Amino acid sequence: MTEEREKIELSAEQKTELLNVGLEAAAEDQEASEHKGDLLYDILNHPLPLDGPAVNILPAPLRGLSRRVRSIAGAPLIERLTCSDTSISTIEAVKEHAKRSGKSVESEDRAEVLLSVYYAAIASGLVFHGRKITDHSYEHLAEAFTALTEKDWMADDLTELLTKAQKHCQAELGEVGNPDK
Amino acid sequence: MGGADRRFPATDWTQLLDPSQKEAILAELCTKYWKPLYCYLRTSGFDNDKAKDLVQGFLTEKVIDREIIRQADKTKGKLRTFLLTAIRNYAINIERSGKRHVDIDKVAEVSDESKDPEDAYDRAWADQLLQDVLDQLRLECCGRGKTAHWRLFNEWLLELRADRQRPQMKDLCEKCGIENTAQAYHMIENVKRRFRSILRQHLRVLVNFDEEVDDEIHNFINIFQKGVAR
Repeated sequence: MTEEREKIELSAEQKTELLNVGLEAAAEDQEASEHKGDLLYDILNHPLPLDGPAVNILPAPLRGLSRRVRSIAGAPLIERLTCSDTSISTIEAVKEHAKRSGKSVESEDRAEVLLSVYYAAIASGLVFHGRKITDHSYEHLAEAFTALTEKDWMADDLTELLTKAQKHCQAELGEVGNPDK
Repeated sequence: MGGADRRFPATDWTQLLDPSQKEAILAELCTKYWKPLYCYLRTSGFDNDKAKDLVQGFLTEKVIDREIIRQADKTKGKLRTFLLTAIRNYAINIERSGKRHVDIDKVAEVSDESKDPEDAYDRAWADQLLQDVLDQLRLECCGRGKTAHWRLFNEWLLELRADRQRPQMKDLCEKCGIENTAQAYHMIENVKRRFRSILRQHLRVLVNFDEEVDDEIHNFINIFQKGVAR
């Protein structure tokens, strides 16, 4: 996602109407794929959880501030995963965060979405660093990446990443299977 | 980690930051919180140049400095009210030091809706919040193949019209290439649901309890309705 800000001029009535939307009760009849898409973006729009003394020593009002300040909190996961400048150690941190979080959630939808972030991190390692940061085979990964690109709730940016990673895996499998190599 | 005693050495925060980190944090704080702080000071009577200097000084000296950490440790308040209290105290100290430059004629230029400094601060805070949320929503819609959804939402709710009248939905359907009004309403509800979620996520980070999110929204609604009532 690029940082493209677009100032929207609103009247006081429009601002009031929008804020009232914020008070409405959450809808319960949401389609499953919509719900997963929402969950995915909720995760992708946040940075890695902050850790360490830099945040833990802050009092409550400023802890929230630190999570909103990019210079402290870092870039959101979607940028981490789709940017070639992201270090391999950060990508591994995203993978571990998704894996760890997925083990402790009660919601199946959320677990499935976190699994997609886990595989997206592996994809990112392959595409931007040429490194496989998992013990999963290339065959397994190619199948997983393909399956994820077919999810209608998958983010466009991740679909592109997963597609590239899938091709990387196919290339690796092609080389391994080549008797002349 | 932590424990019952929440005290911490006030020097830890500054020791953990190097100069380049401080610069980056300051630049971000200026972007995010400059307008509400500036509006508060201008509506309090400080002239344009002085208000700018004070905001810069406040963010540099007080927010990054350990001074504000000590003050924050005594309160469990929300970030918005915490910064307001801090800037108010900062301005009072400036006033007491005799360095205040009051230009009453310039106060009216700041806000056409309120002469109350706290209202001006809250309004600017809410304005920034709504812009951040709408920006994130727009990017998300584009990233999810929902450009048509965003366009419809924008035309229905966000377009500023001189007559303040909402367009006819069937006209919008024609304009946006939507099959029928039922589908259009469903698409708008879809985006409104997402707006609600993103707005509440933005607010939740800045308050201490879930219940405070609703309180913040009610407060901002009251502020904007005050402006409408005038």
